[in-house]
Amino acid sequence: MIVKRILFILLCIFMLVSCGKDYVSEQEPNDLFNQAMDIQFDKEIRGFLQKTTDRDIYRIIADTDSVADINVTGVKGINIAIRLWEEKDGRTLLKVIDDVRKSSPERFANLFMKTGMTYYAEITYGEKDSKKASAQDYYSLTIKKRDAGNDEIEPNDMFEQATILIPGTEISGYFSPSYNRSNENKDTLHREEDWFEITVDMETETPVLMDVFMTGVQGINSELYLFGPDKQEISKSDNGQRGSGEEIRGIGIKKSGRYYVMVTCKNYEANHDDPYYLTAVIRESDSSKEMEPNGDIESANIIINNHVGGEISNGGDADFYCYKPIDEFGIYRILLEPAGDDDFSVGIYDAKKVKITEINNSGAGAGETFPNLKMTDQFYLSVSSRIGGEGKGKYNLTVTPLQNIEDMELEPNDNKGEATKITNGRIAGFISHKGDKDFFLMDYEMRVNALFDITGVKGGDIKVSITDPLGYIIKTEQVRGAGNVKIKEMIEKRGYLIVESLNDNYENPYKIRIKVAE
Amino acid sequence: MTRQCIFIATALLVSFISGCRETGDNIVIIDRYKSPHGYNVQLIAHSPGIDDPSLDRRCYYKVFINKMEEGRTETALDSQKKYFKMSLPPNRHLLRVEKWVLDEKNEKYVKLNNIDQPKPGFIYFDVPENRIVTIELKVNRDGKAEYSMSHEKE
Repeated sequence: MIVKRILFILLCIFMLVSCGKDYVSEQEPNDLFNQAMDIQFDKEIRGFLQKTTDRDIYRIIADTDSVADINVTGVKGINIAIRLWEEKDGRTLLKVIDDVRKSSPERFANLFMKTGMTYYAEITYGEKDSKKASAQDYYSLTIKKRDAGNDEIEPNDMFEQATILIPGTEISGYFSPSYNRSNENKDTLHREEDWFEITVDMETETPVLMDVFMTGVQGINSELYLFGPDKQEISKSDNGQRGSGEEIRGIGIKKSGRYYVMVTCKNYEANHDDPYYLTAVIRESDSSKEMEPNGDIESANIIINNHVGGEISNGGDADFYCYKPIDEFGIYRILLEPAGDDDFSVGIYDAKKVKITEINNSGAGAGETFPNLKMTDQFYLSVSSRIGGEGKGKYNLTVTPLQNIEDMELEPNDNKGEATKITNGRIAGFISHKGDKDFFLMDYEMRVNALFDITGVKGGDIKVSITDPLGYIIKTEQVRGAGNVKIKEMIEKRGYLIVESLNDNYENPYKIRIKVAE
Repeated sequence: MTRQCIFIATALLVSFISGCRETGDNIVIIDRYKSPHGYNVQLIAHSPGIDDPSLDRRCYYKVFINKMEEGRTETALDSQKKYFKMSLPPNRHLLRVEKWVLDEKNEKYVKLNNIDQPKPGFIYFDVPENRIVTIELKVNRDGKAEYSMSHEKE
């Protein structure tokens, strides 16, 4: 009787102790799928990789649409890994989670589980280093479950697996895991990528604009990509900073189809605790606004009504525009105005897409002007921020055709070969860019003595030179501000007048009158 | 008779070269000078002794009359004749020249150093009424200047 009582007391004590345990131990054998041990969500499982051929398989059954957060602790001296499987017409390997480091934990923050589906978590050895058994040090596996909200549906590691992203709806995702062993692409080997799919159904032929925004995540240097229906990259955002978001704005969509957004990060960084939030917006296009992609001359936007507003999204970015003049020949004033304290430059390209010049005369926050661009055909303009700079922001670009222009320099005229010919004994010009040099050709039937009456540039300084027929300088005078200087010089039938900037002012012209006598 | 024939023949020959006027039985030989038209002084400057192209630089001469800058000759090779024409009142005048040479590297003409300037760099000359004075300046290899003057004839 006493023995029975003692046994009863011992049993009670044992039950109390075992009921108080906050973990369960793995039940070997569980090396095969049909031996898999069922897991309890939120309950720690302790297990051992006891042999070099050992693997422990756990079964997860989803009773509702939910998201599993799978976490396994590290085992000293062992490179542990998780392989996730789905039971569907056989077993499919969903994901291999392995950071190829010894003694380190592995985690996958968001495996999407569909109602009624069975999944397996296989705890095994990683690829790196020789396999080593450990009967003393256990691993601890915990699988937490949360309701599926508007989350990415992992695995979504390639465009075929893309999670549907509905424009105007926010979706969340994780930079988890750090390595995706299934990614065998040589250029992005083992990079974890999250793919999303946006379906655009256009009702008219008028292009629409797409914006994609992604919030930043602590410790993550993220990248955001947009691909077209042909899987070609349309745009990319990478501000190069950890913890800050990315955005792609104003992408012009001209045809219906499936577009893809891809989220990834640099250096195999991971954050299993803080999600990113992703949003896409489709909006109507506006002909006075930039339409991305226009990052190269081939995809230049056409400037309608002489004006366009755009935005530089990061340092080194460039936006290209095409201007189609109404007349065959014209002189145009180009004006770029940044909306904020940004330092942008303007590139000018001819109809053959050959760069003529780059205007970057002013500092941050100031506009860039090219006062008198001569063009005989359509031309291209680019707006860009300094490579490696932080410049980003909005701008307005205006092309103004100048009317009734006579006796005006015809830019480009920066060398003898492009010299503007003086025909009516007078000429006017502008300092068009930093270090501008304007060449004018004087051509008479005989040798003449000429008097040059020069009015300088208000707010600037110039140097005026007169040359022999070959272009070698005979005489030079400086003209300060809007001052007046007269030069007498002989022109041997032919000669050049050269105006150089000493102190730039792009707003006001210089004027030169020439009186000749035999 | 023989003397008379020789005299007539000589007179005819001279008349070919200059001009002549017949007054009765006497023949008076006269020079036919050009009348000034637009200019009455002409400077011709050159360095005829140069026979090495590497030394034959492009240059011009700046011309000062009575210590005032008057203008310049055209540009040409040093060995070539360079002209400058001007109109001056009849009087005695001081001509000074300044040689400028092409600095090809800097694509501009620069004044030749004083030590290399033609010497002498000046000449006094007279401008008579109704004459065109031609001053020829020849500079030799050593920079020595020779001036010769004539009145332009028809």
